Amino acid sequence: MNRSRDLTVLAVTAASVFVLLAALSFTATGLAWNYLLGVLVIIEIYALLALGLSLEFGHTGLLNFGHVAFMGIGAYGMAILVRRLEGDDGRFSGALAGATVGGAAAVAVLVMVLGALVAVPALLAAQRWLPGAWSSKAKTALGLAAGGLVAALAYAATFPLSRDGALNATVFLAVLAGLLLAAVAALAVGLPALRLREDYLAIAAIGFAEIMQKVYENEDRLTNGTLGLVVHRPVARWASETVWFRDFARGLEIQPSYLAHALLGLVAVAYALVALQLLARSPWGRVLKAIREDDEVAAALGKNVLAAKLQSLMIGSALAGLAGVLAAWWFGSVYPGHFPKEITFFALIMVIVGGLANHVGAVVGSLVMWGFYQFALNLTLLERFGLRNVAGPPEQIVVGLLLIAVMVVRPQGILGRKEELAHVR
Amino acid sequence: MISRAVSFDKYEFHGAVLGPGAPLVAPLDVAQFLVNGVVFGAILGVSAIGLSLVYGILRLANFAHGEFLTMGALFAYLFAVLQPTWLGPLALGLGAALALLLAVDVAATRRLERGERLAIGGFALALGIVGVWTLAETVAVGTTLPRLLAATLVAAACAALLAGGLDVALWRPLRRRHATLLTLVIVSIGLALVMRNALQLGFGAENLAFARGVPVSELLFGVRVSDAQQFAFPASLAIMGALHAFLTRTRTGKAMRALADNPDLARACGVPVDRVILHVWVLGAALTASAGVLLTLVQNNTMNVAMGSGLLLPLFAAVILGGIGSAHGAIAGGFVVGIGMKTSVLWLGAEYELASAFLLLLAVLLVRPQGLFRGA
Repeated sequence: MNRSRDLTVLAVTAASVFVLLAALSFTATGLAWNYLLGVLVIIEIYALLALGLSLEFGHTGLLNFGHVAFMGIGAYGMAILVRRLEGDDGRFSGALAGATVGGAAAVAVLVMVLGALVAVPALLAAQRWLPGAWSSKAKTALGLAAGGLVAALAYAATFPLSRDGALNATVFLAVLAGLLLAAVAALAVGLPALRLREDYLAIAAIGFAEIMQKVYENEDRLTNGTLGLVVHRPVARWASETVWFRDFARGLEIQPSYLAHALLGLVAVAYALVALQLLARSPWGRVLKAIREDDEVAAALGKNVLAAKLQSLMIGSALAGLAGVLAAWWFGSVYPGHFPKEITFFALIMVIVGGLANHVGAVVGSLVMWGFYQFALNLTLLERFGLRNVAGPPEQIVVGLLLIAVMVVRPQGILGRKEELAHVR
Repeated sequence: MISRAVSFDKYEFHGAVLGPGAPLVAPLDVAQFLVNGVVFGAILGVSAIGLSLVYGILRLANFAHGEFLTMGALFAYLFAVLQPTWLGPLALGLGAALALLLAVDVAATRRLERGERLAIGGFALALGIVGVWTLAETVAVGTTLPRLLAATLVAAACAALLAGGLDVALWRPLRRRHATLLTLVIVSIGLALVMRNALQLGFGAENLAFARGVPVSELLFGVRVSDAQQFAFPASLAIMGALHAFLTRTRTGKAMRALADNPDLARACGVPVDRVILHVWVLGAALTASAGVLLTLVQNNTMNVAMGSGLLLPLFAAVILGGIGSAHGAIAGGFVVGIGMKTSVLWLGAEYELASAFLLLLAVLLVRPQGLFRGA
């Protein structure tokens, strides 16, 4: 795997996509920065989804056609919990009123859970090497997990101090709960489906996604049906209330919330990318690849194939849940129309176009795909040819054709390697 | 007991009344939903046959299968209701193309059995009906049953032609390259995306109907049966019977079953694999497209571009339930899933019909992954 080449491709792709879009959106008043940042935020959300699928499909060979369900569960889980903890007067005085010591303790426990979510795979990776020498990569992975834990703890420690402590604690709890829910749902779907043929998971997952759509639409007491829920937007609030940041963004004639969302997404994608890369090179990651190539061989070598598949699926789904939370914050709402099944296929196409079994490829793929989609949306040429200039059939037809063409002509994608494609030759 | 007058198009209302927490379920309601389930299951079975055969022979979970169902309904709408001026030439051209393909196909077959000659004769007869209908098309007004039948036939032929063309242009090259299971599945998803959006481009996303009006129903032993159900159920049974005869009596049908059962053995026994696979695609698409029309009639005469893809889950559930690759199993699985879905309305409410199909699927995966009707 050629890391510097991958990163060069990533940088070049990002630059060219945004230069192209900038050229397209260049108006008389100058560059439409807000538009570009908005596109970037969506790309980051898709990149998180694609990274989850890259782990599940590119590295483990699990075809999850219901990825969007876990995104929705993360978003709805977060939104519903925040709503439940909110008082009647709109103030956050529920479970964590005043961010008391008890509240902080509760948060600390959940921080441990988050830490475990990050640390468990790293520990799994390391434990196989425990008798011998510890590799630097395993140490890095553990360090990363520990770093995440410490950062989360440090953040939680600020709750009792800050003015909006109760609110922050509530949101923090809700996000954790959303991610956990997504991972547990993945376990519930994967456990029956994964013990059999690999295509059964695809069928079970797409069915699960359909049913979740029905749940959003019909469980009015929880989800408010087709109208959806208004979501509290902590990032936008932070951006507008933090004086230095707000002034900095306004100085550039940018909406503060746009900049904050783009930066947060950047951090999330970078963190997920680094963590997944480290995992991919750990013994745990190699077990996943062995399963992808031939799970009977992996089982014969004493690896617990089902457990490894489930772990991969749960981590990927937690990432999807995180993407859902970011999307909910960005849109300021959750409603069924935010989670159509096309999202799964878009993310899958991003993984395949970018290059299978390469996490950088997933990010490159989301840049290329969504940039291309935006480009097609913006192109007034479409109108000149009598096609409507709205998202819909023409673009999706092109996207479907793109997928078929890539699978037939270059199944390894932009950054993929042929040798890693035994499962999708 | 006086009937509660629950007709098949009143699920919404009924589900709300007898949703979770309902004190009791009248036996007649169970009978009502059982009838609805049997009719729906028969249609599901007809459309699951092609999916199951393709799944068994190519090991391809074809996620574009639902789009053939949508295509059948929408194309029948096009031919029976919209009737644009280019329709006559199109129908004639299509008939000519099909006849030509049939002739090529027959020429490639050295010996013909009696059953096969009958099948080909039946098909030619169908083509003749299409020709007559095309001629009569200029005088007829309104959507009558014969016109709908003819439109269904043409729609099924269109779907069959498309499926055959796709096999030659897309699936066969992938087979030659020994593409893996996952490649095929992903390609099928891309194909589904293209087909659905192309149909949406042509027909829009709104609900369409063959005819507007109040559905007529009739009380049979206290159970309300709509005229659509009275037509669709025997029609499905007739299709199943013809298919059974085809699969058990003709050489091609036997080859299909052999190939689905054990591809390597069939190949070793001299079954012309590529040709039989082409026939499976054509047959499956035609059946599924016809089922699309029947389904439209039964679900209160409404169709839209999402109807096929929304049925993927019950279709796959039926196929896996019946044992992958078995046409008879797909029919049986269709009945089980259909009855399960419609009777679950009594307990889960109409909005969670799909959930019962999903639960059935999960239960089968856990307990009998080889399907209900297959040996270990």
